[in-house]
Amino acid sequence: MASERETALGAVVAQTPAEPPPLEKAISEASSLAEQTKQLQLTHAHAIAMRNADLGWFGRIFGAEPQAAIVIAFIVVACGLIAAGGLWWVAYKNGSNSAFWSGEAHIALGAVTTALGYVFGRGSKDTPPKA
Amino acid sequence: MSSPQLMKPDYRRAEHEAIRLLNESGIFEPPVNPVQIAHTIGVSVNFVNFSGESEGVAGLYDPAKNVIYVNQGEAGVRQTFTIAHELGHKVLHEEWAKSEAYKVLWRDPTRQAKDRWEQEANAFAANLLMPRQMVDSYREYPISVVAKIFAVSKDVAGFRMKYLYGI
Repeated sequence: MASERETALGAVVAQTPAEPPPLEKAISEASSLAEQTKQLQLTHAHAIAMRNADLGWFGRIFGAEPQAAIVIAFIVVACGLIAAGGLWWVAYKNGSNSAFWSGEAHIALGAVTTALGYVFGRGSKDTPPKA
Repeated sequence: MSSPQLMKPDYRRAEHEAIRLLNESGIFEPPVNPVQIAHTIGVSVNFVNFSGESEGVAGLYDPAKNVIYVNQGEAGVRQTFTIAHELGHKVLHEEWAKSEAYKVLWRDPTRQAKDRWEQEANAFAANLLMPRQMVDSYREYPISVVAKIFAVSKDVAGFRMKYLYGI
């Protein structure tokens, strides 16, 4: 009995020496798409590098200009609340100087209030006025 | 010693040989043209039609003439895999490919033998057409785009992405 290969070779009815259009077309389309994709990747990488250069070290930590103030205000709120809590705890534990530590806690709370006022004040400023 | 048929497929060797061939051919960017690689190792590729019972043949390797025959009627993205698969037999199983045990590659996957030689040739083809170091740059892209960039079918690209990254 003939092998699969012998049967298939016996069934060959037409031969073309060069690459046929299907494979040629697939390779050519793939080459141009790969090239386009590479260019896009390079442009994207360049844009990120430029953005990082523009931001500087401060911007990389706190974000670009529009967000930096809000990020810093939130950090002040968070730190102020933690500080106020800590100072009240010290005031509670330290009976003789409790008035002093309580006063310090109120100062920290003042910073929190100011920062919150900035966040919400900016929020209302950014909202366009109703016609 | 266990029979060669019972031996597990050596996927590591398939990958190693595919990468070696890519490096020797100087191909480091997609798409990988398997016809170009075949020519670098002295193998001719003939695009043909098959008649009768063999109409469903996707391709075969003839070691006597050192020629890979590919079904002309197949889509280009399937022809790339067929050539890469048959190159796998040439590179990994030259002696076995000369024997009567060799099986042609069928278009219908259900007709295809699933022994270790076919599995190794499939692994070789996947590593040749979509080597990890090339695919890494495109892992964020949809499978349809990756398939087009590497000139393979969506099925092949999907299997490869799943194998490499689990996606």
